[in-house]
Amino acid sequence: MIKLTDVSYTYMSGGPFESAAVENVSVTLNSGEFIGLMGHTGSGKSTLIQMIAGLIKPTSGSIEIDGQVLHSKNCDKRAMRFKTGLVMQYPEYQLFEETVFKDISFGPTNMGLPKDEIKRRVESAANLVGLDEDILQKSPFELSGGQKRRVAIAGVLAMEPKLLILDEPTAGLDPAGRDEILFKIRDMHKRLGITVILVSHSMEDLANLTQKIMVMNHGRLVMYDKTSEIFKKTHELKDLGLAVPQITEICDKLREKGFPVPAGIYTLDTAKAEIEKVLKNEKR
Amino acid sequence: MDTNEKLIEIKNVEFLYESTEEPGGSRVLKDVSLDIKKGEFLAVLGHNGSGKSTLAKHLNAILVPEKGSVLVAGFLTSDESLLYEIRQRVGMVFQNPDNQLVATIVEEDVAFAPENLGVNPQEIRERVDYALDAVNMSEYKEHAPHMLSGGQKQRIAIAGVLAMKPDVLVMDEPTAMLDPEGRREILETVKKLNRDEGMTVVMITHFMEEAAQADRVVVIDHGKIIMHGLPKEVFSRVEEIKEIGLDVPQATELAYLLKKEGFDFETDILTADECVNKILSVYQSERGADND
Repeated sequence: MIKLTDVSYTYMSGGPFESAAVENVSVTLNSGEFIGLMGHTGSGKSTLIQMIAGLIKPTSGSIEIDGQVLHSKNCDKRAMRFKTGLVMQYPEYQLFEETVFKDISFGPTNMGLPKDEIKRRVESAANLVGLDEDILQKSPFELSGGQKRRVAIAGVLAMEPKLLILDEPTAGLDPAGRDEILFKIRDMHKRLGITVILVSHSMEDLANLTQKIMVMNHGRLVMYDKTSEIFKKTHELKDLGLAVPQITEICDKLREKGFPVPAGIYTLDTAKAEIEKVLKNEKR
Repeated sequence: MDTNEKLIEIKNVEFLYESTEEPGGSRVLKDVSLDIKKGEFLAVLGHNGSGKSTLAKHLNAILVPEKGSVLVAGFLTSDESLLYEIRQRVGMVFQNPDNQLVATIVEEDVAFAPENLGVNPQEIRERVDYALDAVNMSEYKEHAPHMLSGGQKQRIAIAGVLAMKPDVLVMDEPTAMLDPEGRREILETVKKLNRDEGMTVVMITHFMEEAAQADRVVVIDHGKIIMHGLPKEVFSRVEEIKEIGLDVPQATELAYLLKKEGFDFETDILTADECVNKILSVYQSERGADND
């Protein structure tokens, strides 16, 4: 369980350029959930996840993960670092090793794991993200962009985090590459039962994957609810400079014009099924 | 498109990258031929590694073809003595706005290219004002670029290119790193430049909703142009598009799925409104049939 209590973060605190990036966020996230995080650029998303990952310390407030308060005296920092895996934006720029294997094994090696365990983890992580074994001995710099991205994600997965945070993991990928990585993440979430926080600008991706969604605006958490509830709030989201999936827009407009589809439809399959039901009824 | 004048002519272009694995290199472009007309808004689609960025780099002689030719306003890109003429006419904007901004003040950044072209100060002033106005960023001219949002930064990058007074704006995934608001800003800017200034635009994108707004769409796969036509024509080929790892707008896909169920749907639907109207008209006609 992740519990944030009155968490705030101020950049350049006390100086003339002081600006609050996150303000008084309180929220409890349950273990094992797949949670989306959205908000426009500058809304405080990245600052929030960096605090959850323990990379920066809240200016005020506290973050508790599985009973341990981050940055407190008796918090086992090392253990917390290994518990949370953060995949930053464009992680492929962080590859540095001579071979893919070495790059993925960097985290587990630093955890002080025995050699055969490291090997197992590297292979399992590579497998999870869909990298072939023969790629492991190649230089990461020979790979395509999509493959590099997967190597970088595998590097975090090899640490087997209980909480996986991904900041725009599919930005810049083509639709096939995007779907492949997202399906792998969903698969992994199901199989390993880990908690996932996915930061994304793609409403379609958030709609297809998440169980709950947090919405940030101007440093504040303005919504936190089930995905189906979030996408019922079309107007509020638009006011925040966010969009809803095109399919939600279609269903909303249909409903406004008296076509009887329920609110809060956010996947193509549901939309198709609901519209089909109405049309078939008329046919009968 | 008010004219059919060809601005760029790409003829039978082949291009190889050196590769350690494949002796003889890997062929990225295979017999690509394409004309880009003056004043059109062309979208280029293709998955990662399809060759679309390589094609874009051929448009201003960053790369030159192994075989075949590229003519920009009649200038052959493989002739090095014409480089100046070509680069001045074809402005490029790339994915990451942070990599394209050089100065600490917005207007100085926009002035960078004309300064280097040796344009006189009076005209630089005019061009900078014009360019910032064209991307709707005049009020930020004395701001520091790094304090701006992604969409704003990318608009500054576009202004920097406009200040060169190019004939064509080539953009390689200009919205990939932006949030929905930033994406909307860029698309609006590009459409406005195309519509009001008659700027020719070539836009490479992974966002189908953006491509749907172009005059014409070209799809590249494995280094070949496999489809081209109006957005409606291209996206109505839902199965083929999906097969090569691309996507169609959700509105198009919904129409496609309903058509498969036997309803009277065409798949030349691109926007939410078109889809809504189509569903309503099917609904009305089924109702009408009921009453008979």
